Amino acid sequence: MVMCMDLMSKLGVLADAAKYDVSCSSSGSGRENKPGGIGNGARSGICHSWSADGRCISLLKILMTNNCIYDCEYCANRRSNDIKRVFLTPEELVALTIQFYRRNYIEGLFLSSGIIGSPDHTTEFLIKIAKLLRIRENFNGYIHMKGIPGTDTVLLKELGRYVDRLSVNMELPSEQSLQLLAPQKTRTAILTPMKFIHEQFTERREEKRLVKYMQPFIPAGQTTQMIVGASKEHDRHILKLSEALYQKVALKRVYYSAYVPVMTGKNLPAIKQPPLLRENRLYQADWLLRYYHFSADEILPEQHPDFDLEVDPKTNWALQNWRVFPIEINKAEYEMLLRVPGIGIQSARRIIRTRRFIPLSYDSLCRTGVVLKRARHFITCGGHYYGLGLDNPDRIKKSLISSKYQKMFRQMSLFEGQA
Amino acid sequence: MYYQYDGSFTGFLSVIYEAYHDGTSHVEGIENISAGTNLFDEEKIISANLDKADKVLTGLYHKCGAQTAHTLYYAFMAEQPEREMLLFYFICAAFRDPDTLAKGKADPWIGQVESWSLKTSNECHRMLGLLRFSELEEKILYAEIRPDHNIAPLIAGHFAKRMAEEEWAVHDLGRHIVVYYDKERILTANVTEQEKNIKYSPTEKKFRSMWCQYYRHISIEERRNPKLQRSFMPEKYWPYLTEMSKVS
Ligand code: SF4
Repeated sequence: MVMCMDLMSKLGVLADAAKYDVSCSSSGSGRENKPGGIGNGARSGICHSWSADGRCISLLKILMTNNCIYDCEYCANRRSNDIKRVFLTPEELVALTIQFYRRNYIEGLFLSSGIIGSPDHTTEFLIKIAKLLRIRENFNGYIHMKGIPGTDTVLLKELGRYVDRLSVNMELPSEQSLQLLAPQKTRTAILTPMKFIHEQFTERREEKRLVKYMQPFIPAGQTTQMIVGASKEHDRHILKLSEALYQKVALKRVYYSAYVPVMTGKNLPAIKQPPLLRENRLYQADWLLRYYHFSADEILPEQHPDFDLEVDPKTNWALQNWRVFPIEINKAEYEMLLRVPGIGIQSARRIIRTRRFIPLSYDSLCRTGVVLKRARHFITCGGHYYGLGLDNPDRIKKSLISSKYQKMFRQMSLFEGQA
Repeated sequence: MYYQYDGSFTGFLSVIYEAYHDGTSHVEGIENISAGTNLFDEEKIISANLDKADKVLTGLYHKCGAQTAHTLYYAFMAEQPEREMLLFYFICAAFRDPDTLAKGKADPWIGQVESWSLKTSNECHRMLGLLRFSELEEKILYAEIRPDHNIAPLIAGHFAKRMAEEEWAVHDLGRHIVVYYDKERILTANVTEQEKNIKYSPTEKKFRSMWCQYYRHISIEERRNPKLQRSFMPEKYWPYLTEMSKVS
């Protein structure tokens, strides 16, 4: 019973320590169960619960230990902080994962850790846990592990053989901020493993074409996370960094985590509430980068390096560039349709499909899923214009941020409902 | 002609088979025998027949493709009142024109069938996450659910793949159906009596409280948002969720 209580409180402490990590996604891996084994991957991911903050719980997201030799100022686990230090043994972690999984509480394990001894030493523990799960327990559910900055690439390669996703946190968007707030971490120590993982991933994919039965290296790819609002960078800086990461190391996702002021420190901003709206704007802009053919320079040009918190980035772009509008729904190219506020990927495709046969009228437009309330200002249908007039973008803006919209933005899922 | 059947999908397809041979224009009504009404003289009671059902379903599959067959099955399992005649209409339309489903929305009845099917799929997907097993004595895993639609048989395959080496059972409390997996096959049975005296394994309580502990701690207090939580996880599912039950 004493043992059991002990495990209970460790679980509490280490879940607390892991909760600021945003990603809980279990998608992207179609790993199959093996004979005699337990578990498989669900390609589109499965959410098992939602915590009181409305975030999806898909994985057992936990730290192996909150002990750490580093001293990152924003982190409760920093060496100089006087807190209780606990450690979950590999066997305890394996038992929790398997027992939670059998009961259908989770899709798998998302393990991160404070740094004990050295990055390599810590990673050796992670490898041990991954191997126990995959080999001894024949566990084929989802495993996501954190790559510790500064780890030897040989160890990362070993770890990558067993997990579905490996991610190294960017943490802060610039070298200066790292120096200021996470003095033991360097840009190189973070980017090197990222690049290495990317190389391995591509290499293995090439080989897999030749050898059919080879296990893919981290089938669900790599992601990263940045803390927003703990350091001084403009939104533009952050978005340009994400853009570069998508292009250069082919990240699956960049996660943004609004800085929650758990610690105080001389280099930390004195804020009371995490900047949730800013975080939301970053996710929206990130979406524009990945799916809407926007570039970071377009979303946040040098003269406007920060988001307008009142309107979403796409609407903001449209208002700034009102001269290119209105566009004719029955003629505009797909890429241009995507740029109209209120038109999403689905509706743009539907418009293209429908208008091949029948020209679209304003009334038939709502059936394509277009949000006319927003779109009407930026389009014409068969030459007719239904909006407030583009010569006055301010009026359009005001109409778009009616109280209802404001409320909607506030309620909007800040982490998205990803699985 | 009025047809009566046993309420099962096999039974329903058997009716379609018979109706086809009797001449479909005679069909005036199809009803579930358990509804108990016996108002009509011209009634034909059809018993569920696997071969006949199979012929209908295979025919539909070959003529209209997997999507149409899937839509029919899932729409049936949505268990909406008076589904039979609408589904009968759907099948006739599909055999007449294999593209019926693709044209979908134009015909409000076809649209209705599609939306039933979608409802079932959505609840299935949701339940893959929200179902909770408890470990009973002898290591059997047991889950209680009370879904809107008849999804227990539909989600069984997922768990059979995932937990191929476990013995488990999913109990639909509202429909009194148990789907049981014995490490080899999936069996479905009606249960009349509800087991009140469930004996859990000695470690069950421990893992439940661990899960509750984890659940409480993983939430970020500064971001509390119960409305959002509820929109993803409607309250009707809470009574069967380990982490949402008051006693843990
Ligand atoms: S390395 Fe820095 S951020 Fe990570 S646990 Fe240690 S102190 Fe915290």
